[in-house]
Order: sequence, then structure tokens, then C-alpha cells
Amino acid sequence: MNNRKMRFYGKKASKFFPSIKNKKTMRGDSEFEICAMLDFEFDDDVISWQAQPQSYIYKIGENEHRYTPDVLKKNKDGSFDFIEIKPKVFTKDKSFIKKYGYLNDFFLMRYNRPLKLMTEDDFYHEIKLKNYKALYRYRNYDFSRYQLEKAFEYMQGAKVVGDIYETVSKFNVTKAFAPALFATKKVLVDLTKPFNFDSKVEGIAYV
Amino acid sequence: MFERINIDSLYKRFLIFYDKRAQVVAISKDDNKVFIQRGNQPLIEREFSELVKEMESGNVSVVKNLAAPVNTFNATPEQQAEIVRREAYFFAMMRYQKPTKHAEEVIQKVSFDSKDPIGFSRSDLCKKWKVFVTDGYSAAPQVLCKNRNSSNRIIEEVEKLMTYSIYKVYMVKGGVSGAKTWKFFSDEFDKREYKCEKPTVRTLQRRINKISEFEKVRTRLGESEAKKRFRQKFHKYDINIPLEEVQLDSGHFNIGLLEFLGGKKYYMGTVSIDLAFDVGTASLLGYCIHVGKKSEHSGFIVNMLSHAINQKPDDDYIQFGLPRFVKLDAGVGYRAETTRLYLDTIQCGYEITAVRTPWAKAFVESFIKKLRLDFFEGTEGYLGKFDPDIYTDTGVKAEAQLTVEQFKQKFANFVREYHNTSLKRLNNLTPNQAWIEGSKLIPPEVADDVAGLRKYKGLKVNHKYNIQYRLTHQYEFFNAPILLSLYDEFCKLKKTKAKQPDLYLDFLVDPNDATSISVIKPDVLCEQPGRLELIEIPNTDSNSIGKSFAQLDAVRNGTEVLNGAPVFVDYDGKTGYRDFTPPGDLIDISNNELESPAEIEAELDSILASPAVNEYQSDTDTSDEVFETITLENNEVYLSE
Repeated sequence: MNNRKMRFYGKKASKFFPSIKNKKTMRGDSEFEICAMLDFEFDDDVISWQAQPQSYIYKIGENEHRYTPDVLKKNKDGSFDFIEIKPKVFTKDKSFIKKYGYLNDFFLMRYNRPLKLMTEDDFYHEIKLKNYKALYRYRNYDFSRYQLEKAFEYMQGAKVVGDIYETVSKFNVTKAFAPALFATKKVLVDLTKPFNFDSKVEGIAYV
Repeated sequence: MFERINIDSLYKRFLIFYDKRAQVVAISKDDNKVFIQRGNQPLIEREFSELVKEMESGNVSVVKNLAAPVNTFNATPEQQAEIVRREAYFFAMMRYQKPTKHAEEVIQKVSFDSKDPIGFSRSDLCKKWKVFVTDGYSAAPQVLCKNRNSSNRIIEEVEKLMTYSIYKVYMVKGGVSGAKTWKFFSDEFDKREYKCEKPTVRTLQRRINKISEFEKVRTRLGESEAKKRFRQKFHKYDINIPLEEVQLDSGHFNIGLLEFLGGKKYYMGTVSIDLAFDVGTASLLGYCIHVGKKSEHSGFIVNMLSHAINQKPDDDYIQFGLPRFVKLDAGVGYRAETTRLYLDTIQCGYEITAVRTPWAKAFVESFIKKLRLDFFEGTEGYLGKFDPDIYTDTGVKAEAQLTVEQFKQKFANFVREYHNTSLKRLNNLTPNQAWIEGSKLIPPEVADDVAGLRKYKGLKVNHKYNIQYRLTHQYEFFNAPILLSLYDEFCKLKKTKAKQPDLYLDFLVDPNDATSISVIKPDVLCEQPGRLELIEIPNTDSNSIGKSFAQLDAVRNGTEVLNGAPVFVDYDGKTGYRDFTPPGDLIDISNNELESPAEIEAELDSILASPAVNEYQSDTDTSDEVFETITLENNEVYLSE
């Protein structure tokens, strides 16, 4: 295993994230990274991703340093991205800019792709993340046992989320069916707004 | 408010003089003339009356200076009170044509009327009055805009020596007192033979006082003490969705329990309860009661999680479902391999909080406190929170009155009552009502394969397979026909000369349920190597159904309550102890040349396919590490050979 070895417990809290997309449990350094991971899970352009993928040793002068990118992700178009996730305030630090410059050069030389920097501007949206957290558990809902086309016929007139829930309550399905439709983006809603029964349904992607 | 213009008031004022900014640089009162500087032009001379006419015609206008406002928003209550106090004197003085001549009279009158204990001296009040007038009849600037910085009379070198002394002997772990710090400083000062005056103890004490209290406690007494003393809550929980966050913890309670078996009374030990508390709805999602020594055990924790996830037989107990996120502490049982394997199986995110930070999972800690106060206080046999410093004539064993079953029933009743009691935190809803309300939008999810999930048990045991007795654990025998066929298959694959090769099997045990164990199928016999396959093997003793190993042990090994020392029914779980593996296994990137795109993609694909960071996976040998380094010199990057 070529992952970074981290202390399992101690002064810092350890956070683990179960990735449905990759069927693995990933480990993040902070809540900030966990939020980014959640975003990757809902991002359709990301096929797979891996947290703390590989460790590298680099030298500045005489001193040896160790670096592990936060995430390696594979996109829909087949391209790969090495990503460093950092709050914006830390990216202005001089030592970080210097270190990032070196590492960026290294990844360009080694893999012909830069080390991308992700800050809160790229993924952090408080309401969206709150909705993602609530709906994430339904991402692996098994729809294969139901006739979805038939179900969508009944949902055609739905205008708000409450209508979908009401329609689904008449089906012989589990209670998780309705939220799973939104979590898997089969029924589209704007998740950057608070998710409740009055949220507007923007379309049914399945049909 | 209009400004009255006269020749005096124009001095050094800015003007808009025929559409261009200009300044009055000089005035002559004798000639009644004004001298104006307009850009780089020569000085312009105007009579005051002429200038006034030009102002009336609109060609010249005076730029009004903006007042520098005083920031009263940040004024402390003490500062505000001081402003009011001073204004009382100033307003009284304003009644007189020559206020300073009546200062003594004003002080006497106002201090008596307003019962001001501080008062003013005459000269002080006169000085303050002049400032009050120059500040535009406002007392706020003289209170709020006071420059408190006086020049430092101590030379820089001595200042540095003071700082050095403080950080050398005072700001260290178990540092000396302020007086001793000054003694150290004094000796150093004398050694260096400074000619200036030596700062006093008070001066050094002021320097020490300037350092933040948190930093002082942190360095002198340690990080833990500082955290304890200065801990603050900065964020508010606003979760109202069921199962959004579940906090786990164990509580140990000083109450002894009994068991009647075969007509005899046995002492079982003290009670510990593992709790799964749902934060959003303030509900107790699940729990596991175990009796014995006070320990946190992975077997019980998985049992508790299993109880939390599954639907309960009690219709009133409506809380169940797969949690999205679980917070647990760094206890041995919680960070055990089996506990985390179980959490991974149900695809639940989890956070292991930092050690000695109980406030990180405050809700469950608060619930344990509630349990102590509302449930255990007054229960027969409860002796209060254990304190080793207090000697009592009574003991837990002597006071024990309740049986295990009675206690379980009492606790279940308490939980039912708690779930139907309205809470202020939930806007006077009961936890049950909050659960129903929250489940409308985000309903709880149930595991697909509940039967399969029940095979996951908390305690991992390794044992040699015995052909005669099959598998044994704590003097209980487990057997099923599948074990023999498994062994036969193993013998065929093993290809050794021995007729009966040794087969060591890992199996999972639930200490609270001796009915069955789950054998982990060895990798060599698995259809899909690497995947976990569990086989349930039942207990050969039909009396064991529904009983814990502790109960069965009590009959076998336990002594009666009135005989000798108490028997603590304990489990020798060794899981959770883990050797910290040294870091290693880095990628070998010794090839300096840029690889072809296809090779790069293949390598990146292999990285993606590698296992995630799972601490409980076995670590590979790290002795043959080969690293490539990038050496950074003179701001250039190149790969070393």
C-alpha cells in the first residue's frame, strides 16, 4: 500500500469518509477536505478519486520533506488531476507559495500535469453541502428492483418536492425511494437552495 | 448648519477657486486682504470684500472640512459612564461667562448632586474644560481618544534581557514565580554591568502580565490544562435531521447486578452501558448493557451499533436506521479493527475525536449525565459516581439488589419515558415527535442484507480448529457440518505430508450472545479472495440461546454472593491494541525521464485502484524503499539521480 501513513488517533481528530463512488473508505485531514470529497461524490464529471494517493519525498537544499497530494481524481474525459485542498487564507502565505511552486513544477515534470489548488471558492457552498450531507446516504439506493419508467409516468405533473414525496408514498417502495431520486439526480432540484417540501422541481432527468 | 465666514476663519482653508482647488496661505488683517495659492500659479491677492462677492456669485466656494468622528461604538460601559460624569461638570460650567473662575463652586455642587465619589481637582477640571471646548463641546474625544502610550525609559537591551529572563525561567513547564524570575533577571543584569537603572520587580511583573493567560497556562502547566481552563464553544449545532450525526460513548455506573441461576444467587459485576445518541432528534438510537469490569469492548460496541441500526421489537421504540456520520472517541473498543470494519460495511462516515476532548461529543456526554441524575439516582444498589478517595462501609456487591433482567427492563422503561418527554431544545417536541417530523423529508435507511449484517460481531478471536471439539470459545462449543467440509477442502489445498494439518480460523464473537459465532472464511478457500465471507456456526448447547457468555460463565465459574470475593465476569479482548507501523512504502519514481502518456495513465490508474487509507490493513514490508527526490537549489528544480 503506497498511501500516506497517518497517526490513527491522538491530539487531532481523525475523519473517515465512505466513498460510494469508489467503494472505499477514505481519510481526510480536516472537515474542509471531507466537504471537498462530498463534492466529488456528487460531481458527475468525476469518475473516481482517491484521497492521499501517493507520498513523495523532495529536497529543498539539504532538508528532506515529504508531500502527499490530497486527492487524485479521474475525470469523465479520461484526464487525471492531482489536487491540493487548502483554505484560501493559507494560500497567501509566502512559504506555501514557494513550496507550491516547487511541487507544481515537479508534477509537471513527472506526470505532465500540474498540481491543482482547490480553495473554498471552488466547492464550498454552505447550503449545498448541508443538502449533500443529508442526501448522500441515498446515493447507493438500488433502483434496479423497481420499474422506474412507470414511476416517472405518475410523477410527470410534480412541481415541488412535496408532490414527489406524495406520489412516491403511493408506490410499494421503501421510504428512502423519494430522497434517493434527488440524491442520484434522477429528479433535479436546485441544491444550492434549502431542500424542503416546497423546493421547486426543475426536471426529471430519467425521462 | 451654515458656517459663518470671516477673514480669520479663512486662514489655511481650501477653496474651489474658479473650478480649481486652491488654499488660503496667508491673511492680512490690517489691509483686510487674503492671499491664495491656486495650483502652480503665482500668489493671488484679493480683498476680503471682493472674495465674498465672488463667493456670492458662485465662482468661489469654501471646502468644508469633515469632522473626524469619534468611534463611540467600541466604548466600554466604563468609558460611557466616564463621559457622562465629565459632561455633568462641563454643562454646569457652561452656565457661566467665565467658567474656569467658578470651577471650585461647580465641583462642590455637581459632586454633591450626582454623588460622584471621584470628583475633580480645580486645575484638572480647568484643563479638561479647555480640551472640551477645543473638541467642539464634546467630552467623548478626551475619554476615547486618549493616547496612553508613554515613551519607554528602559533601553532596548534591558528590555530584551527581561524578555529573555521571562522565557528562560518563567515561561517553561513548571516555571518559577514572578519574584524568582526577577532574581534571575537581576543576576543577569549585574553580570552584564549595565550602567542604567535596574528595572523593579513591578516592571518585570507588568511585562509578565502582558503575556496572554492562555499562553502562560499552556507553557507552564501543559496543553491539556490550558484546554480545560479556556475551552470555549464557538459554533452552534443546527442539525435537525435524524441520523445526520450519531455520537457514541460508554458510561460506567457503580451499581452491582445479580443473577439467579439454578436456584442460586450470583453476583455478576457492575453495569456499563454503550450508547448511540442521535444528535438531531435527541433520541437514544441504540444501546448495549453489559455487566462486568469497567471496560470498553469492541464486541459490545458492535452489538450496540447493531441494536441502533435494526428495527426494535417494541412498537414505541421507533428509532432505527443507518447513520450517516458517527462520532466516537479514541477508546480501545471504538478504534478496534472490528468496529471500523462494521462502520465501513454500513458505509457510515466516522470521526475519531482527539484524546481528552469530551466536549467534541458533548451531546452523548450530556445524556450520560442525565442518566446518572434521572435514572440511576434513587435506583436500588446505586452508590453514586465512583470516587477512590472515599471510603464507605457498603460495597457494590453488598448493595446489589437488581437482577440483570430487572435492570434491563427498568432501563427500557426509562428510555421509553425519555422518548416521550418534551425537550426545550426541540422546541418542546418529544424525541419521538422530532424523529417522526425529521423522517418525513429524510427517512431512515435500512440495511439491505440485515441477516448478513448480523453476522458481523464485535470480538475477533483466532483459534485452532479441533476435529474432535470443532471450535471453542470461553468453554462453549460451536459446530456445524460446513466446518468439516471446510477443513476437508483445506486439507486438499494444503498438500502437506501431515494427515491432519493445522487450520487456524478467525472468528467473530458477540459477548452478549453465545448462540452463535461467525467464522471468517480463510482467504485460500474464498471464491473471491480479499472479500470478507462470514459463516455462522451455532452453539452446540441449546441452553445458550439468548444468553451472554457472562451469564454462562457465572454458572460455570462464579461464586455465590455470600461466599468469598466477588467474581468479575470479564472478557480478555485483545482487539484494538495495534502496533504503530512506521511510515514507508513510498512510490518509486526513480525514472528521470518523462514517461509516455500511456505509461503515465497506467500508473495513475493503478494509484486509483490501490486500497484507501485503512489502518487495519496489513502493512507490507518497507525495508526496500527506493525514493526519488527532487532537489531544489538556487530556485531550480531537477530530479536527482
